[in-house]
Amino acid sequence: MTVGTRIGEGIGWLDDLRHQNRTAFHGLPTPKMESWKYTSLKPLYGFAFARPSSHEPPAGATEAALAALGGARLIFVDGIFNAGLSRLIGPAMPLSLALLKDAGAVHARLGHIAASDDPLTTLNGGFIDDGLVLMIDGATVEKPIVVEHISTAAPDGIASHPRSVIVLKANARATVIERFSGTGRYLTNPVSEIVVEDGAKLTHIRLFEDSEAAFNLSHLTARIGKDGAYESHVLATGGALVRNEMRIELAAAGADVSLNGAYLGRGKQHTDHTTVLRHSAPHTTSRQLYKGALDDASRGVFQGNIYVGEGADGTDGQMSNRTILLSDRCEMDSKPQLEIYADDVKCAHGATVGELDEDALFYLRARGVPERQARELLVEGFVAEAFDALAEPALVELMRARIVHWLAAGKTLREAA
Amino acid sequence: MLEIKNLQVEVDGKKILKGLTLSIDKGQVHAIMGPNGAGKSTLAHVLAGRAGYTVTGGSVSFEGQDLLALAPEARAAAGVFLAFQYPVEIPGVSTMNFLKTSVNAVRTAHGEKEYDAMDFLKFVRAKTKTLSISDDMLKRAVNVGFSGGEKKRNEVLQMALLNPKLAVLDETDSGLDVDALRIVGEGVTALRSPDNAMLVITHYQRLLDYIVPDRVHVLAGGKIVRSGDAGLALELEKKGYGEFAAEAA
Repeated sequence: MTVGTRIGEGIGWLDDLRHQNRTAFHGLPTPKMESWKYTSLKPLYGFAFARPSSHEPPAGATEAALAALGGARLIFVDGIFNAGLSRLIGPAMPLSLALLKDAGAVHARLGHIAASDDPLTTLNGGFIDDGLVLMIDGATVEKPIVVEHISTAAPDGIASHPRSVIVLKANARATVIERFSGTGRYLTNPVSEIVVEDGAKLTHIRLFEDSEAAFNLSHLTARIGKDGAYESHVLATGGALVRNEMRIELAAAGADVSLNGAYLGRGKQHTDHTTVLRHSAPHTTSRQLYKGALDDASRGVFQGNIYVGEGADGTDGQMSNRTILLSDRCEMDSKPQLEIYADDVKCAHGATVGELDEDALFYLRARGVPERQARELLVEGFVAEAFDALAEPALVELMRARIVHWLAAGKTLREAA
Repeated sequence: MLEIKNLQVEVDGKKILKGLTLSIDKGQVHAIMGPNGAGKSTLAHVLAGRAGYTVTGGSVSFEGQDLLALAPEARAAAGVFLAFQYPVEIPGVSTMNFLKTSVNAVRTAHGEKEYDAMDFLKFVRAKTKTLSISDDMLKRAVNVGFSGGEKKRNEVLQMALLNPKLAVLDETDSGLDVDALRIVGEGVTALRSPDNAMLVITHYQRLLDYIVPDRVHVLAGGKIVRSGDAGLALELEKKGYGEFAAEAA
């Protein structure tokens, strides 16, 4: 991999951090690693991904529906901040700017809770491209902060390693919406480090809408404090291969985590949601709901692990993964796991894989709805249920509209047998 | 309007309807009564086009069209409506969205302009009041968590919105308490007109107190074994279906 000028070069601790990570990187994950059993990165081996250069994104690459929300907007193209397309208001800023303003504040947070045993996080740490820095002291940011990561094509592929740091101090509140998109073949390897302190709440929406030739290997680590809340809504519709791994520690009493995900696959798409929730304090709550629909020869993976540490009594952890298969060639691997070392806990998990409800399909058709439209409506209803927890109706509508768009673009939504 | 001739239907290789003949003119309400297992629900499902029923003989003509050749959605567009005995739950799809999709699909099939959200809301509101259907019910997912009465009222609402030429009511009275039966019975009766027809399938006479039929047929053993006027229903209520068991055998 090529090395060139990166943001913040010359800042001693950052140079050291990159150097340490490059030294520590010993190759991509292999299927021999337990958590990579179902997702192979073989298509990435030997691929010479170029380093980002400052591209202008193609016209229409940014999302109008997100711009219309009216808050701060940060646009990154191939891991480089694009000031012209962005709108900096409020506390959100690109990492590059945060390093210029107060490198010490970034130093105090970057790299502190990122996974040390994840090769992709290490790879990201070796490069560290631009990303979101959001640090809020006790305030509420009313409008959603929009972050778009756009990748453009290059003959040998582009690799970018966006790094984001979000710290909500006591009682702060914010909503962050991230969208990944692009054209052609590229690798995005984003790493996010999130700290939600006492009584704070982060609502985090992420749209994985990468190009159908792209790889997105996202890794997020979060730590939730006393009575803090982290609410995630993920919609994955794009990419040749998307892996979204989230490791979250519920570190103090009253911490509350809600992870909601929907995935839609067609062609040969591969979507992997891997979560590790670590309940390490008493009276913490987690809810996970992942719903998906797979068509053609697409493949879905869900690996959910709820770990309840010693002394984390009163933990309440629920995890559910439900998938509809729309073709005979698609595949879903679902692996929910509980690891419990405390007493008095309430934990449950469930996984189902099924087909569209034929009774519901007939009901709709008997009401005049053509078969194709009826199938789309049923799939929409099934996966969109993952976003019922979203409090803001406009955001629910935003998610639904993207699902509808995906369904309308398909050719092969399974016909009647 | 509806002409069923010598209809024979199998389910999983088992003969259920064994030569059913029935003719309904517009403006008429016919009731089909009969013991359990006589083939009442099979008739309803075959008319609506549900998969899994094999027609091995006979014909069904609706306004001169071969009804059996049409897909379920085309039958709905042609004006055939089945009120389900067990309305299906559809999680994740709001009742309002379901109703709008249905009405607009039928309008599109008729070459009419689709309703936009505002116009549709007005259209629905005009029908929900008499059926005691709240806005909250419209926001909830289709039939999910609905009581038995709510489900049946929702069926009658759909019927009111689609204004079918022929409504087939499959045991619409089942599972209803007295109050719910009254709302449903009155709701259906209000939809009766000289231009449409109804086929009311029921095990009991009580729904027919509200929807007084022009003709009553007894279905037993896959055939209509007796027909008469509304008085036949009252007679059946008293005597039961015992005497037809022998005829069907």
